[in-house]
Amino acid sequence: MLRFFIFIAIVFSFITAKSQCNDQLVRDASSKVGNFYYVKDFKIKFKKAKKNKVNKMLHSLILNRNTTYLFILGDAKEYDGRIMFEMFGEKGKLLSSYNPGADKYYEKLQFTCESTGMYQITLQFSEGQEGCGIMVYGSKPSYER
Amino acid sequence: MKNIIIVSFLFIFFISCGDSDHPDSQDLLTDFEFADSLTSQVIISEKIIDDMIHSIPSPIEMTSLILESGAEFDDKILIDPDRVDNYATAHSKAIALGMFGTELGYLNIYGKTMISVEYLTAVRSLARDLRVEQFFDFHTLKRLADESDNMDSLINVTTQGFSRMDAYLREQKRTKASVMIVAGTFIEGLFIATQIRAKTVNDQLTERIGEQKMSLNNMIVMFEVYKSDPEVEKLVVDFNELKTLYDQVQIITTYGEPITKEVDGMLVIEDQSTSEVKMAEELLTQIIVKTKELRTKII
Repeated sequence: MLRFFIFIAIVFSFITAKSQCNDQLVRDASSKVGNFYYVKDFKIKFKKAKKNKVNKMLHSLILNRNTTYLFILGDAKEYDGRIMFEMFGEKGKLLSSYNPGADKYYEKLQFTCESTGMYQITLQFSEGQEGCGIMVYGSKPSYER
Repeated sequence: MKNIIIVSFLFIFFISCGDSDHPDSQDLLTDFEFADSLTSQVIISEKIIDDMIHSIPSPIEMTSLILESGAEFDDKILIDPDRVDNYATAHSKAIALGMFGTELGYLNIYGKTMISVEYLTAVRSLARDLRVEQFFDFHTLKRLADESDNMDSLINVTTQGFSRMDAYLREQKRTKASVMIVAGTFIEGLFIATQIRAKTVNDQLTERIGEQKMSLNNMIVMFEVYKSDPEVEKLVVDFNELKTLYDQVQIITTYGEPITKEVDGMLVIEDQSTSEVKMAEELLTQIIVKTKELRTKII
């Protein structure tokens, strides 16, 4: 009977781990939006990338002038992959959550937009590792009344 | 003992297969003959559509700007929530859900919770008919609406509900429903902004109205995929009339290198590019009139 309960406990812990990758991750990241208005979230879950391949989510966003955007990143700790976020404007890369020089991952990025336009965003995991992560972003108008 | 384990395993397996974000209830959109066509043309286009849907700003971005611009709240421009029963088809219900969702955001952001409950009820009714009710915890939303110090939570929970509903519809290959909801969101946000701008000169609002050119162009591209549907074809005609006006709006960008710094562990990026919207007052007036015409046809 003891073995049976251990078995149940293992299966439930597996289920809990799965939910951490989904709902809890979303809740944790969303709770960090603070005084910004929550706008959207993007979830990614990738297996380890094959050799010379990159698993990457690409999307476009229209961002508006006179608006400050807050990007919050979160990843499930049961996987090795750390989430990496980059944003590109028409003239190239504007921001990256990973600083290779310092080998530092940022979980919060704030972008003050002064030019309305289409921006490309990418989400991926460090070194093509398996991972589960989320990017939540919020906005607030940043002009003086 | 062995049987207990097998039965338990099967029980747990079925629980774990269920995802709280994706309830098993059959989506009646198929009953409305509203599910996307499975023609190869639509499947190919859906990758582009998916990206375009994300590119359309959420209603909270427009309504928060309206609030921050100092504009007065105006309840006379809102749709009567009793009209919710007039929407008979899945197509009209989806557009109406987007419109009522925007109005709910407008009401919430101005703290008009007494009225917002009626709009919450309208959203609930439409969401139920479209079988996406599961993304709105109406008891929680009602409680948050009743607690005046929880406005930020109410706004964020509502926006999250719409965001998850949108993701769910696209995962279920019901991108067309998602496009119609976004269309309703877009037109109602533009309608509220233009109606407020018609009454008060407001430079920030004028700029934001002009900036909708990009979203409008994306909306029309999305409609093109589904224009074999006569109802969508009508929208294409109407939105193109608005586009003809928007084609005269100029958005001029001057590029600059962004400045990046670290503040309290957060990466802060200050954009040094700037954009300017050029739109004559006469053109703005025409856009205000055309937006109202378009919105009147839809509601």
